[in-house]
Amino acid sequence: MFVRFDYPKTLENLVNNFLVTDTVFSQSHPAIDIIEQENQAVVIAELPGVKKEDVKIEFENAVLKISAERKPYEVPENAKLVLKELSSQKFDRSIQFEHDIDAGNISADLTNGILKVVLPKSESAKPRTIEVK
Amino acid sequence: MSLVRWNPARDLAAWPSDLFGMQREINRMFNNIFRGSEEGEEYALASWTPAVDITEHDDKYTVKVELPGVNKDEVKITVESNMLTIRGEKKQEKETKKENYHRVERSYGSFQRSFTLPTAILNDKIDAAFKDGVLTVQVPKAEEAKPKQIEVKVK
Repeated sequence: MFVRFDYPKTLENLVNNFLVTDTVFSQSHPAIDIIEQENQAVVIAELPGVKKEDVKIEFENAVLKISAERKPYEVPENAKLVLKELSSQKFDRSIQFEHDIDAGNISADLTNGILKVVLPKSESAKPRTIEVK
Repeated sequence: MSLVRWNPARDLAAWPSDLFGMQREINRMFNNIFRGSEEGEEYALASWTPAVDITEHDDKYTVKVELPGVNKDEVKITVESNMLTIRGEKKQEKETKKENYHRVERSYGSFQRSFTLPTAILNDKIDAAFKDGVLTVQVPKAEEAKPKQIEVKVK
């Protein structure tokens, strides 16, 4: 497998979500897609309402850690929330990679609430054809 | 139930999110039973449901919808009497043919949410803006729906 997942954390979240029904819509970790391409891996995380400066991306020991914070928006004093499904909170997600990643060339972009992290594979992890002599 | 094209990668790689989805669906069913159907939400055609906040002000409603990765042109807002409907589609962009999905948790496809607002609204003055994947719709209340202070003269 290319990616090892954070199963204990996922299970923990699942249990928490069942116990606290208010957090049904507010996942404590963002929804992600992980796509492996020939020369790189792409991680796409949904971070609606998150500003660029409130996202932190770390890569250490083959673990990509995405932390983000969504600041609450202001509700004026004379206004009242009649439906609340969005939450202002912290997002946290760690993904462990098994392939060698070229850590120095990881890039990230946040557009329209979508964080896209591109992790190039290191030379040794790229597919290659070996010529028979 | 919605009709979704079968995607083997999704089935294999997304079991925890499927559970979340199922749980969400169940909660929604319960919410609908308790709230009744006056909200007029239609799920039949939608494959996912975005989270929504609604704030009531003196003169308007502010509706915030989480739509990360949805194109501005793919969102349609309609109003019929007091019912505000936000619908659209989130497309999954394919970059190259040679790719392998290890995890698919994000929801794709069409979405729809409808709300019946409790007061009369000004249909032609509705304003919507997209920022950082959050759609904010400002729905002004009709004049007669705004709270009024009536001065009563004490004789």
